[in-house]
Amino acid sequence: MTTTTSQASAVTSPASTEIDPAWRAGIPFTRLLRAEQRKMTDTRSGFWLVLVMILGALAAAITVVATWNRMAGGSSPSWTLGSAFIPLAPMTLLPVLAILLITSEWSTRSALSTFALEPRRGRVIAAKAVVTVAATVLIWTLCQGLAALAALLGDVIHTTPPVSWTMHWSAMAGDLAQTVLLVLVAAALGLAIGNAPAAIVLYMILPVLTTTLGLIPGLHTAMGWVSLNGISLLGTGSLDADGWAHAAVSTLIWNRPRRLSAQFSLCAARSSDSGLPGRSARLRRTGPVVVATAVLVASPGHNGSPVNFFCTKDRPHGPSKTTSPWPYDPYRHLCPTPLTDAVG
Amino acid sequence: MITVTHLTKTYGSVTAVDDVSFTVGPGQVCGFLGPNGAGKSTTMRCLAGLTRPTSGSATVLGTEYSRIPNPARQVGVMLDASAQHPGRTGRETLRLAALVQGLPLDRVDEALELVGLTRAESRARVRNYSLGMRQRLGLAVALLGDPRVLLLDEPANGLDPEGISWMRRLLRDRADRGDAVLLSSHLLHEVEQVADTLVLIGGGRILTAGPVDELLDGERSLEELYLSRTETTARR
Repeated sequence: MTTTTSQASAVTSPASTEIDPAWRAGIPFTRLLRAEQRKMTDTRSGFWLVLVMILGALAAAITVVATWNRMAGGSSPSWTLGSAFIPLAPMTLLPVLAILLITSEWSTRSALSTFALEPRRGRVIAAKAVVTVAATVLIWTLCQGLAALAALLGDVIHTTPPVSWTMHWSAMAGDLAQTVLLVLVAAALGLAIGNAPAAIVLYMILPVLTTTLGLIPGLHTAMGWVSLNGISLLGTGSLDADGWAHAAVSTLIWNRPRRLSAQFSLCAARSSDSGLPGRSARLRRTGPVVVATAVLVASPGHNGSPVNFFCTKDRPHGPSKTTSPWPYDPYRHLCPTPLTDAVG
Repeated sequence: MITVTHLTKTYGSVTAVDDVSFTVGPGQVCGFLGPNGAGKSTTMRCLAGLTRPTSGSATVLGTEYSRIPNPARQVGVMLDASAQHPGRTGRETLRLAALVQGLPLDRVDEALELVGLTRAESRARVRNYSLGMRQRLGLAVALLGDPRVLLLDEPANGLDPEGISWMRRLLRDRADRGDAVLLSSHLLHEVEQVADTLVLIGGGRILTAGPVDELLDGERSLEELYLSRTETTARR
């Protein structure tokens, strides 16, 4: 049996032992994207998560319309009045969707099929990341649209002062970046831990954990770096520092694991019989990446951080003004602060 | 078309596969036999690029599986019928595989018909499938891209007698048109009827290998051969 794959010997007779030249074309990334996009919603859990997101956003929008008068409080309201309530359900459930898209491959062992179809595992993980970000951006945009619609209806129905339609672009970009980063952190946790309940719980308690540890005097400085504080700051409109952080974080989260995931096949399936990497191996490989990511994410909120080193001059508001005792608040939508450029 | 050369795979201190070499040529069905834990599945995982060999090589069509562009069009793999998302329907599972391979959607219906899953069954979630139905779905995934090499790990498990007979015919047809099939199984009677060559391994090593008619000279049955050769490595 020949081992060369030269064009000349690649005959097309059925008995050929070479790869059929007709199928030399690889799998385009767009096909992987479409497959991952289907996987996101074609299971029962995915379907219900998306349905609850939509219903939750709609219910919040209706509430905003109904209580427009009271929310405006007599002053001229911004159209973004509802933009803190409406994304509550979607932004709570999107990280869960992102985690499930990754962990379900391991828990149901469907990764065996997935990686048999596309052995370059980094591409599969990258496709999942891209689909996750795209879904986040789409849902975030829909929520903003719903907020505008609610403002329009609220303005028509109620006799409040006219709505201000000023677009707070930098604050909106900050809010979007914050949302995308939180979902990516969730996805990275899913990839590192490989177990959906553990990843979801860790994602939810991470802010509480870092805050609590930060109360210990000796750990205060360290936790300032580790907590997800920086992501919360993104939503307050301090964007110039965060553009840098965003790029750094995205690179860190998704490029490191991509290279690592390519090595997954190298590591032994010691703890499982599936031919897939064991949980301990995955944790060992991606755990440091998650920690490093959290550090970088935290950095814009910290005085000595690398981000501040790069852009201290024109930051509109220093960390001292925006640092809250609660570094990262996953329930931020419960306490709406209208999107404005002047925070602090 | 399938070449395993001095393949060794260790997990820590455990050697799952120890210096295994064999080939399966075009038009051959190779019966891959051995007790549980003999290293059959590990060998097949190495062939399908899901595990990297510690040393030696396992290649398909002259190259590593993971280097084949769009490999499912060349090599049909079914290593574990239960490794499917239980919340997905059978049809959706096939549809995803067709999507990634770039196949038209009518291939999904053809594959379903080929393995004998009805339209209604294909719309049920895999969670509700019997073992036999999962095997049929796994085979449909493997056959979807009309590959020329098949790697099947215990495909007859849980199939009803009709299914087993159908699969025997399918594998024979595939071999007759020049395909190569590596078939691991514990159903010795079935293997004896369909296989051209045999590879018998135990404790990660090859115990015996060769054409079926040479190995089964005279009155010996495959079962006798199997039991006598695996005696030394059988589980206590």
